[in-house]
Amino acid sequence: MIRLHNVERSYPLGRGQLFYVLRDIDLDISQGDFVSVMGPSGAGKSTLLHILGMHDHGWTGEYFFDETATHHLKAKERASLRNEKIGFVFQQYHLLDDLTVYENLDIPLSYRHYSKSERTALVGDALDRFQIVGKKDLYPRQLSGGQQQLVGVARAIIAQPKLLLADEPTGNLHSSQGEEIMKLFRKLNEEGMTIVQVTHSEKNASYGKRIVQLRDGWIV
Amino acid sequence: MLMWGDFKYAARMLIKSPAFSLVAIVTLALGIGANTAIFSVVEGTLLRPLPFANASRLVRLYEAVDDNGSRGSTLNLSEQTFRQWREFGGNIFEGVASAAGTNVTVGAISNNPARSVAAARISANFFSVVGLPPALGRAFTEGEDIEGGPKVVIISDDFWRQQLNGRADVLGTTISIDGNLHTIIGVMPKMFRHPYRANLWLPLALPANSPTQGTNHYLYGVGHLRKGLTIAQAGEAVRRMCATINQARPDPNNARAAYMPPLRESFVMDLRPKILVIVIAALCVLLIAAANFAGLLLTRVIEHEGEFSLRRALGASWRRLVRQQLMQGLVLAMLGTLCGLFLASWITPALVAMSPEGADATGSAMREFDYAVRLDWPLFGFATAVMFLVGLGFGFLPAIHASRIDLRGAMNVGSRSATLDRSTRRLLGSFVIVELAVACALLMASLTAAQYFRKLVNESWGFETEHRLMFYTTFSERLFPNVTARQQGIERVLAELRSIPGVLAATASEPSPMTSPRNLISCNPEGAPPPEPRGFHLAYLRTIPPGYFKTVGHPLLQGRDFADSDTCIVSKACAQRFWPGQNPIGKRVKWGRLDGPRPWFTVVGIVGDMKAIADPRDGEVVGMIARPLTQMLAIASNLVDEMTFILQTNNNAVTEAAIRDALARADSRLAAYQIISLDQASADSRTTERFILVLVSLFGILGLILAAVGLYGLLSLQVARREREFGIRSALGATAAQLIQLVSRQGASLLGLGFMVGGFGTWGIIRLVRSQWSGLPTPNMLAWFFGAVALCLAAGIACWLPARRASRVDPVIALRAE
Ligand SMILES: Nc1ncnc2c1ncn2[C@@H]1O[C@H](COP(=O)(O)OP(=O)(O)O)[C@@H](O)[C@H]1O
Ligand SMILES: [Mg+2]
Repeated sequence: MIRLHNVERSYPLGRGQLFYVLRDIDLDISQGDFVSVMGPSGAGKSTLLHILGMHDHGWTGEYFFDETATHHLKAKERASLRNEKIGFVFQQYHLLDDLTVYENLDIPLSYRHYSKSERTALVGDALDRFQIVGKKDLYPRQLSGGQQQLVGVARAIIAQPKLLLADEPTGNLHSSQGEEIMKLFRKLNEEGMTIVQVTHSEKNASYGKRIVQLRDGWIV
Repeated sequence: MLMWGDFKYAARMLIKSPAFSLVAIVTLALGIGANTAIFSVVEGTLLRPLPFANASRLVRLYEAVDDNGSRGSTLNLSEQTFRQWREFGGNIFEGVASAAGTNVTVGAISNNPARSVAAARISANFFSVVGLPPALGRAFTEGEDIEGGPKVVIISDDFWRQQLNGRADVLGTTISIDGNLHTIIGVMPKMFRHPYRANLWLPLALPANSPTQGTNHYLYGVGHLRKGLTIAQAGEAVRRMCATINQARPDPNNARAAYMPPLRESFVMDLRPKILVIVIAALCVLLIAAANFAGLLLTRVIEHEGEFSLRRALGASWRRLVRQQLMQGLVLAMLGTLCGLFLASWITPALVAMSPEGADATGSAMREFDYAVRLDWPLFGFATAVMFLVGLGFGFLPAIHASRIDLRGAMNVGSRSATLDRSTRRLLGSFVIVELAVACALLMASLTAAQYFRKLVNESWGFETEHRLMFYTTFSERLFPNVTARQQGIERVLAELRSIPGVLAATASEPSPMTSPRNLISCNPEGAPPPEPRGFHLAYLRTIPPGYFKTVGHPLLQGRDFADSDTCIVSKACAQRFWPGQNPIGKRVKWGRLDGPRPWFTVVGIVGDMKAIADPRDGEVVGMIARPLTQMLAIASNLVDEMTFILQTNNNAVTEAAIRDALARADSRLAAYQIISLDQASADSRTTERFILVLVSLFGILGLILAAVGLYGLLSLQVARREREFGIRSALGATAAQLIQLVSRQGASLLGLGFMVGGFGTWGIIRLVRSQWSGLPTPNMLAWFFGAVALCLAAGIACWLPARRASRVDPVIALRAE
C-alpha cells in the first residue's frame, strides 16, 4: 500500500549547510500491516510520520500511496488524498478545548463531503462504538487523559481512513490506560485498518506486527 | 512604589515588540492629539470667554415685535428704541450701548495706499458698558458722540502695528478717513476687533431726528444688567417699560418687549448645533481610541501570560509582576501623550488656517475678541485623563485579574493554552464591538452631515459666476452728502468700468450677489391679510440698476426689467407664495406694515430663484424683491452706502490695476476692495460649513481607522493564541479557505453586532443633534449604504491579515510535541 524510496528530509543549518533528519529511507508497508516505529529521541520518527501523513512537503524521493505517486502531486491534491485516506492520533490528544466531545468528533467530517445526516450518523456510531455516548456533551478538560485519547482515536478514524498514523499515542498516559489504547489499535487492525505508530515502549511495540528502528535518520 | 528598574524593564519590553508599541502610541497620539487640536480651534473660535469686566451681566438687546419677546420675531434696535431704552431703562440697565458696522476709506499712510477698512460706529459709552477700556488713550466722550462732533477715532492694535508701525507717539496724530482728518485718541488692547471685526472705531453720532429712526433696525445693542437682576426679571421689567413708553409717546413703531440672550451666547447661538456635532464626533473618536488602548493593553497582558506564570513559578512576587505591567502601560501612555501633544501643536495652526476665520470670512463673532491660537490645556488634560483611566482601568486591571485566574492552566498545557479564557475573550470582544459601534455611528453621522453640507455648498446660485468679477466700494454719506451726488458717483463709476477693454457689461448691486440674507425687507402682498403676529413677511431686498439681471446672467422668467419708480421684480418663490396660481405681473407689494407709511410697488417682472440661506432667527423668508437703485437712493439712502460692482468680462484679462484706474478716473476718493471673481467668491462661500464638513469627515475617517486597528488587534491576538487549533484543524483536513472563513466569520459576527449597536447609536445621535438643529436632514439610504461598505472594507482588511496568517499555520510546527 505504501512504498517509500530514497526519501530524504533536511533542514538548513545556515551557511549553506544542511542538517539531515531522514536519510535514504526505503520502506514498504502493505495493506493490513501494523508497524511500530522505534528509536531514540530526535531520531526522526515524528518527521517520518508527518511525511507519511502528507503534512510535510519539504522532502525529496519517491512516495507511492496505492499506486499514486504522491511526490508528483500538488499540495492541494495531496491534501485531498490525505483527507480521504489517512487518520491521525497525537501524543497530546490535540482535542479542541472549546468544543464538546461530539463537536470534536464532527470536525474531520465537516472538512469532507458528508451530508448533515451522514455526519450525525457517523458521530453517533463512533460514540457508540467507543462507548463514550454519555460523554458527548462534555468538554475535553472534563475527561481523564485516557478518555481524551479515546476521543482522539475516534476522531482519527471517524472519516473511515485506510491508514492510521499515531505519534506516541500513549506517551502521556498511565500504563493501564495505554494498554487500553493498544488493545483498541489491535482490534482496529484486525478489522483491516493499516496502522503506523511511533512508540518508545517494547510492550506497546509488541502489539504491532513488525518494528522499524530509526537511528539518526537511518533505518537500521 | 514604581522603580527605575521596572522602568528600564518596561522600556526594553516595549522596544522588543515595536509593532504593538507603535500601534498603542499612535492610538493614544491620535486620540489625544486630534481631540486637543480640534477643541483648541473650537475653543478659540467659539467658546472662549469674553474679555469684558462685565461679561457675566452683559446681554444682547433685540427688540421684539410681538409681546412675548420670542426669538423668532426679533430685530436689531432702531435709533428710536435705543434712545428710549437709554432714557427709561435706568432701573434695569447700568448702561445701554449700541454700534453699527461700516466700511470706511482710509487715505494713504506713508507707503500704504488708500484702502477700505472695517469700522464700527459706537455710542460713547460702548467700551464702558462692556467694561474694556482702551489700552492706550481714552474712550469717546458724550460730547464727541453727536452729529457734526469732533473728528476722533480709536484704532485697533492690529491697525496700529500694521499701518502705523506701532509708533509710540500715535495718540494725537491724524489719519484721513473718508477724506477727513481724524485724530487718534485711543488704541484698543491686542486681539480686540469687536464689533464687526472693526479696525477703527468712530463715534456713533446718531442724527438728531432722522425720518427712519423708528423703522430702520440696524443698531447692535448691548445692555449691562443691574446687579441682582436675572434675565427673566429684566425681560419682564423691559416689557413694563415698553408699556410706559408707549403711553408717554404713542407710536406703532415702539418696541413691545425685548429679547435678551446673554451676550456671549448670542454670538454662538447659531453655531451651537454645529459645535455639538463636532463635540460628539470628537468624543466618539476619543471613546474609540480609549477602547482601542484598553484592548491593546489587555491583549498585551494575555500574550505574556505564559511568561507570567513562569516568572511566578520562579518566585517573582505577584505585586512585582503587576508593577511591571503597570509600568509598561504608563510608559506607553506617557509616550503617547507626548506624541499627542506634538500632534496637537502641529495640527492646531493648520486647522486654524483652514477655519473660516483663518480664511478671514467671519463665521463667528467670537473671533473678534481674543483670536490668538493656543492649545486648550484643560481639554488636553481631559483627553489624557480619559485615555489613562479607560486604558488602564478597563484594559489593564481585568487583564491582571484574568491572568491571575489562569495561572494554573497556563503552566499545565505547556506555555500555550489553546484559546483565550472565555470571560477575557468576551471582554475583548466587547471592546471591539463598542469601537465598531461607535465608528459605525460616527461614520453614518458624518456622512449625513457631509450630505447636508455638500448640498449647501453645491446648491446653484441661480445666476452665472463664470467670467464675472466683483468688488466693493463705499459711498459714504460724508463723501456723498446727497442723493444726486451719490447717484452721479455710481453712474460715473459704471461708465468708467464699461470703458475698460475686455469688460462686456458692468452693473451694481446692494448687497453683493452672494449675500442676499444681509438685507431683509418687511412687506405685505396686496389682497391678503398680514401674517400674525408679526404683521409682515420678510424678503431679501436687492437694490440694483436696470440691466443687473442680464449682466449677472440671472434669468428673467416673465415680464420685463425696470427703470421706473414704484416697480419691483420678485423671485419665483416669492411670487408663488404671494399669489399662488395667479399671474403676478401687475400685482402690488407694500413695503412694511399694511397700515404703515411706506409705498406700494408694482410687480413688473419675475426672475428665477437664487441660493440664499436664511438666518434661522429671521423665520421664514419668502424670496427676493429687487428694487430700482435710483428710487432706493431717494427714499432710504442710508441703506445704500456700500455698493458691489459686478463686471462681465470676455476673459480674465481685466486686471485689478485696470479696475483701480477706472475707479480713480471716476472719483479719486473711492477705493475698490476685495476684487474677486464670482467663481472664487463662490468657492470661498460657506466657509464655516466647509470647515465643519472637513472636521466631521476627518473624525469619521479617524474613527474608522482606529476601529479597524482595534479589530485587527483582537483577531491577530486570537489567531496567535489559536495557532495550535489551526494546526489541528489543518491536520484534520481543513483547507486554507476554510480556516480563513473561520476567522472571518468571527470578524463578521463582531462587525454585525457593532452595526446593530451602532445603528441604535446613530439613531440616538441624530435625534440629539436634531433637537438642536432642525435643518439637519434625515440620512438617506445611500449614506447608510456607503457607511456600511466603508466599515465592511475596513473590517475586511482588518480580518484578512490575521485570517491569512491562520491559513498558513504549518501543522508540523504547530503540533510539535515539545
Ligand atoms: N522544523 C525543524 N527545523 C529544524 N529542525 C527540525 C525541525 N523539525 C524537526 N527538526 C529536527 O529533526 C530531528 C528529528 O525530529 P523528530 O522527527 O521530531 O524526532 P523524534 O520524533 O524521533 O524525536 C530533531 O533533531 C529535530 O530537532
Ligand atoms: Mg517525536
